[in-house]
Amino acid sequence: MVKEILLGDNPFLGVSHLAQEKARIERNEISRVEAKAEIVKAALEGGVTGFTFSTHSSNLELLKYMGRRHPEVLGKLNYYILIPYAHSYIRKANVIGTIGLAKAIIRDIVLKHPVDSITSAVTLNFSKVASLFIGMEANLYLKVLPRERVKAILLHEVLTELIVAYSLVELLEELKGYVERKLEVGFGLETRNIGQLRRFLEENGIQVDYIMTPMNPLGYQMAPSKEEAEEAIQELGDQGVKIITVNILASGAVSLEETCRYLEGYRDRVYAVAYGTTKPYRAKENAIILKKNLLAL
Amino acid sequence: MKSSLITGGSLVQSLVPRLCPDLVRWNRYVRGNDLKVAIIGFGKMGILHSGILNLLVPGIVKAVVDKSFILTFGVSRLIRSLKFYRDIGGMLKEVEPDVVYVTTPTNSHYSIVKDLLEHGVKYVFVEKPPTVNYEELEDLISTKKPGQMVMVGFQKRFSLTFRHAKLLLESGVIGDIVGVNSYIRSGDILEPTGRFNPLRRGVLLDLGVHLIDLLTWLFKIRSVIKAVSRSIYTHVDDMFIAELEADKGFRISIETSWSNPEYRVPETYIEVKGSQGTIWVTEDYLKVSASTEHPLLGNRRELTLYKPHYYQGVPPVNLADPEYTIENIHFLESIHEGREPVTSIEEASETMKLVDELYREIGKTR
Repeated sequence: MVKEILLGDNPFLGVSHLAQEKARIERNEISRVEAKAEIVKAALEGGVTGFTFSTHSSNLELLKYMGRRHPEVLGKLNYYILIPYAHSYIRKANVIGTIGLAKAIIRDIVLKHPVDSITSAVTLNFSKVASLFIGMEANLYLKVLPRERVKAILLHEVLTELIVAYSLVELLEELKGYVERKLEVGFGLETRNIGQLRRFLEENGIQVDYIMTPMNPLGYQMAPSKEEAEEAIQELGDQGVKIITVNILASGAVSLEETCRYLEGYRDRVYAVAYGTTKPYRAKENAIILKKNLLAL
Repeated sequence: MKSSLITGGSLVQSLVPRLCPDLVRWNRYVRGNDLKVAIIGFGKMGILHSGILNLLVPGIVKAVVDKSFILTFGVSRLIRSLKFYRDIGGMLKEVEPDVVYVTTPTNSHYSIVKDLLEHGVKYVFVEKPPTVNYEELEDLISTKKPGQMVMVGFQKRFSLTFRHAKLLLESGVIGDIVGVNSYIRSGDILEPTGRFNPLRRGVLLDLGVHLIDLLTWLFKIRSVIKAVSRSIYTHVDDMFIAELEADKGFRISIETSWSNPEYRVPETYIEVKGSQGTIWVTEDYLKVSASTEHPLLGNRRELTLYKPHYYQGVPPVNLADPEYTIENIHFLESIHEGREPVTSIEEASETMKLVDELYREIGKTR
């Protein structure tokens, strides 16, 4: 059953899967931290129960601001953190190259975790280095958020897809273990290739708590096809994986009403539904509609 | 507005087989595929292509070559399904790949592709730009023997929005072309870097080449009227502005920039004004306003379609933009069918000639 309605951060970061033109306009509308905070507050009033966000520095700024100015709001929401904010690393690679980027990340990890880094290097345990990287990114946010409210850390889709593509079972198990045992929060994967991910998890006998994936009436970003993605969501949901659906409006190409009708058929398998907006009134209104149509009472 | 968009989405669904037949029959070319693929250069693009290929055909990528010790040593401990090499010769000898992807920095493309062709590798994919200039490209074309295939990573040609725009132009939906405005902008370079110094060419070659390729694909270009460039963060061109003349006499304005902070990700924009309407197209959308109704516009005069309408349950792999997956499917299909890909090295000639001409215009030859 749908248990949570989540607010997503894409519009806060200037991300629109509809058009860059739209993203630029929205980003300018919402560049101030106060404007973002208003949306979070409005969403909470409408019935949102959580916030899902990437580890982008502007989100850290927002959460710190909320902690200072609206601690009551911060304390009422659950948090689902996507790590890492891949785009910032891609952009950095454009300037310093991929090797330059790798060196910069390793340097940061060594400075923050000198002992663990040396141990990992000596034992050639490079999966451990990846865990330290995730920990390094997560800790900035874990310090700011009410710890009991952080429900999961999810690997960004780029990492998930590469883990599946190269069959990185060892790495996935290391990251999962690190997040669950060391950071003591739930572990999840974000994907736009849920059919391939389901097969990979099944073949390797891996279970994760959460999977975040696009789900909309058009089948946009649902792979390997809309039908196979739907089947994968149903099966994973039946197995107890908490499915968090994102891009439910196909980036704005379909209406909320159409989406609700579509998602109603999956209410038993979906755990949470996420949406994003740059308008406070819409943040509240959408939460009310989603809650009314999908949330388990 | 939204319901009309959905109607438009149905129109696109009916057009997909015409816009991109590869997407309809992709299964035929990837299932049971026993090709051996090797990747040379495991940076951003090497990781992207090998990831897509492995998601399409699990295990198709067998080997990676990268000269970086840090990368080959570290990543080989993580990715155990691939063999890692630091020299191309060793990999070719041991793996004997059918297909090699060249995703190294641009200045090494020419020598690597030439070596591969001389070594007898049958199928080569080289990221854009294929070479630094036309002279190198011409030499590669003459090195290629019958039966060998080289595809260039001009993936914008696989974007369904641009394919739809091409179909509309060829069908005369907006009448005779009167003028074209275009740009490609990104915010990739917003701080000083010396990465492009060895190339001595900047944004026009690295990013603008996509726009030039689309323009040479959509229109026949006669000459360069004027061109100016500007350095902001690098010692090469960070901004390049030009005006071209098409064979039919209309003017095409182009602007390329990688230092525009407004652009989180690159955007390619082409506006085509015709005697009977206008087309606006980017990777994200297609907008058309015509003076008469047309079946390709769903028997309407106005049409606006966004990415979600074009990519409904396609492509079968979502890693970065959809055109990358379609490009890889097209390459596999071309190999399977023994047919030249639409972005073959020969097809890239016009693009690279025009790039050279534009640099000549600002007084920088290479």
